Amino acid sequence: MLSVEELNVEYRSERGIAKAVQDVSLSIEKGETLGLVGESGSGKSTLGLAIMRLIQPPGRITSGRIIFEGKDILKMKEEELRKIRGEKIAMVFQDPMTSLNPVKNIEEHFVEYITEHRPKLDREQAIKMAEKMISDVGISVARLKEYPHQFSGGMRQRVMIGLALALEPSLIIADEPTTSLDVMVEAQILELMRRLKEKYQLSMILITHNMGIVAEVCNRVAVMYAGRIAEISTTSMLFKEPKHPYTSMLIESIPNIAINDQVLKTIPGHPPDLTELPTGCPFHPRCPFAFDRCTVEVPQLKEVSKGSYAACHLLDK
Amino acid sequence: MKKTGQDNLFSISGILFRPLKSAVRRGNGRNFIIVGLAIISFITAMSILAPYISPHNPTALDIGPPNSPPSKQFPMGTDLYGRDVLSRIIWGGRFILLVAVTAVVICMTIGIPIGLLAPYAGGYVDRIVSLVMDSIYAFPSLVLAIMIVSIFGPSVVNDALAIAVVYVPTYFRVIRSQVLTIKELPYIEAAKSIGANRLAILFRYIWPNVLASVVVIATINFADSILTTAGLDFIGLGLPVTLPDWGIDLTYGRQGLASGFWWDIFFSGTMIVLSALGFSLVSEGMAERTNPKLR
Amino acid sequence: MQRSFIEQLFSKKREYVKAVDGITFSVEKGSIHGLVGESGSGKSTTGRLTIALIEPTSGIVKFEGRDIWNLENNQFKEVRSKMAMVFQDPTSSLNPKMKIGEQVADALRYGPEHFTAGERRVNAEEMLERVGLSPAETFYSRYPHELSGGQRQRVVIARALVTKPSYVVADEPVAMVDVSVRAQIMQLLLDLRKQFDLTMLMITHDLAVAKYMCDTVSVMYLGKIVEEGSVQDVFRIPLHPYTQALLNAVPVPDPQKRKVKQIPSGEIPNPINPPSGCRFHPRCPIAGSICSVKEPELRIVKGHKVACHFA
Repeated sequence: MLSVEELNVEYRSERGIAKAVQDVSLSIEKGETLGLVGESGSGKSTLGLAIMRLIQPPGRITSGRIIFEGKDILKMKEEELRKIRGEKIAMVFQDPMTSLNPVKNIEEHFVEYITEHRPKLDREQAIKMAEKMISDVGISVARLKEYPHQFSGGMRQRVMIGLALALEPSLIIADEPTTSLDVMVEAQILELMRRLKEKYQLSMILITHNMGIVAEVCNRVAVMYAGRIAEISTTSMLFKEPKHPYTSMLIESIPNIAINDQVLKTIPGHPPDLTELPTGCPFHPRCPFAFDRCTVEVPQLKEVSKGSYAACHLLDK
Repeated sequence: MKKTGQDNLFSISGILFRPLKSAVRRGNGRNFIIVGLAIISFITAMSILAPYISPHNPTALDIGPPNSPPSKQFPMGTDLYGRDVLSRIIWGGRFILLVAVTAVVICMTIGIPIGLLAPYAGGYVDRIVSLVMDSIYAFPSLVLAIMIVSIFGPSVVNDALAIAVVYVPTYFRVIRSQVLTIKELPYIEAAKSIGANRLAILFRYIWPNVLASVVVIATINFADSILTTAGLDFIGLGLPVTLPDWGIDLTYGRQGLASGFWWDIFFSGTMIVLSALGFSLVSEGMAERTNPKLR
Repeated sequence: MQRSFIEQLFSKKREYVKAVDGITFSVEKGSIHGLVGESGSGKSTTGRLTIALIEPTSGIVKFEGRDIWNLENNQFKEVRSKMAMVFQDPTSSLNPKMKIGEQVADALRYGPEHFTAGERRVNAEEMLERVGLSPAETFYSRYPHELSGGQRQRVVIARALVTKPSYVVADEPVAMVDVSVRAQIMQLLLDLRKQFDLTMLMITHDLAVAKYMCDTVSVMYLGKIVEEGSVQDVFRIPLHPYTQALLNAVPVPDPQKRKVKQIPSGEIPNPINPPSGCRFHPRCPIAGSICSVKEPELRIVKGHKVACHFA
């Protein structure tokens, strides 16, 4: 339903041009949850924003296509784009505190949002939709009249999810939706998202740095590193047989509460500065398996087995 | 910040120079600072070297025919008393710059310690000082300056004091808000955890991080002082004696303007604007550099 | 060393927030003790109480048998120099305008022992080497913004250990470090603990990190300790409903281990007005009538401590 083709996004900064997203191609099918995993600087959030064409200067999309329902989002006019944002694709951000307007109550948030996109609806109808949505996300209808500061972090995130789903989009992009929440609230929110996804037949792109969430919630996973895709696979394959050294090393370096007497493997070095990327494969300075080809040639994403893709020269050997 | 003459000037130049500004801004303030410093150095050098580079005695009357337009002999023309405008321009910044420097020094000497100590002490000390500062802040600067100078007479120190009094609250406010923010940051708690005493925290951990904003304020202070002093001189209140001065040339030039003698007022006005601009550019450039980093 | 009965009251205008309400625990010399909990649990406050950054409203904090708030000034300084803290955010816990080597060296200025500037520098450089920032001379003169997140955290650790403390509190030491770098920092802390024979208090909300790094653990909820014991005991046989729910809620990076979760409803209540009796009772699946009335005491059940009427 959505397909990203050879997308490139860069940011101008004081120290030079940061290539936030490089030659990224991926697709998402209807009804699936695609995890987009990476650390800071991996480009995952930038990719999410790019899909909604929300990249602002000093960033810009330099090349590529984003095909949604047959049309290229990057070539659309403002009018068409506005019809897509909110109605077809909606986004949930990390920090609900800054996304909600402190001087408007929740009902106002919904009404404004709904009537702006569907001017033909009147206030009554918008409020009805708000009521349905707010109870769907587990908040009692009476609380619609309250203000953001009266809600706890988890509740606010529920409101954000409710808003995102108010116009019944088909694709949700959730950027670190639970990162700022406590563990138990996080579990609640993930459960909520799972339930709503089933109910409304949604497709979802879940952007996160938490491999645990990915393992629990996603059908397929794309692992990003320094702006490029390192590996795409089904969740079970990714954890059972990771094809890219970054993926396997990452999994082995994360403390897993289900394992007793775990020995963690450390990955040397640190993620690169996007303005000073290494030549060839961006992971090679940290990769114990790197050989001469890795320092000069960027590996391309290739199919390794059915549904499993990875970008690593080792796979050619 | 109060709407000073400098603010209005900058808004106008902002509109005119907007395309230029955005091109320059991409250098992230660095270009602003370079241009600003170039202007400041030029004017400072010119003022210091005035005795050596001025072609004529700026106060000498009837060197040439009065009100003669710019020519090869007098590149900036002569004023109504037959004095060489170019020489007057070269000499004209000295008093203004001297006042500005004195004003900034006084401001910093008073404003910085109060700005650092009051919020750090906290409690009612902070509240009382803030109250006093806020009341001074409410005064219109030019009016207060006129008052002080008319009572105590014009001189470098008095002019500087008049300006400084009104500007100290600005230093205080900016520094105070920075200190209040920084005080809550983890590296201050970290300093406490290694056992640093209050004074050490203030001078080694808080002050260096406040310094950048102080530079911004100081340069705005400079620009504003230049304009205020020129204003005082224009009214005839600022200068203690008949020195060559851009501000007072505005008065002389104004009389000639009606008759079409534009050069005196034009060049002196331009110099005033240019010097204020130089400092403003540095302050804008510094502000640009500190803000993104804060983010 | 020990702490006994600590109580801390914060005042916010007219309302009192009991951030840490009557807890007693002790940390064995040479062990790594974890304080685990979500927001509002009081773990950060407790950590700071043990290191004399905050003074308790009532109660005693003992270090090596001595009540630290009842000491002479120079004795207090001496005790202080034996304690250190590793902070959570490597970016904001370093002074942006000071060279990192100087910040490490600075820790040696305020203790009871006197060092010359030269000695401070030598010690700082040695510490920078020990935390893996090599060559130390180069790193000494760098500023925080020139380093990566993981490197900055190493500086924070170096600053904490340069005074050769015997007790270190680590407040979420890897929470704000890149995922691929976390293992490095955790390993570094474990190595240094062995090299310097440290006793550590590790504050974290991440149970997986606690399980990996700690020997013993206290689980905190809303200012109280609800369960305490060795990591094996508490994590394998959690007795308190909150601990059970917490362990259950943690996402596991292994799709084979997907489970149906029993998540208690609601969220952590406001610490200004905690629930009566057992603080967890409004959300507890096995709460009984006694739970809203009487606060359970921490008692020993099946080899470790738990505060629940029904454990």
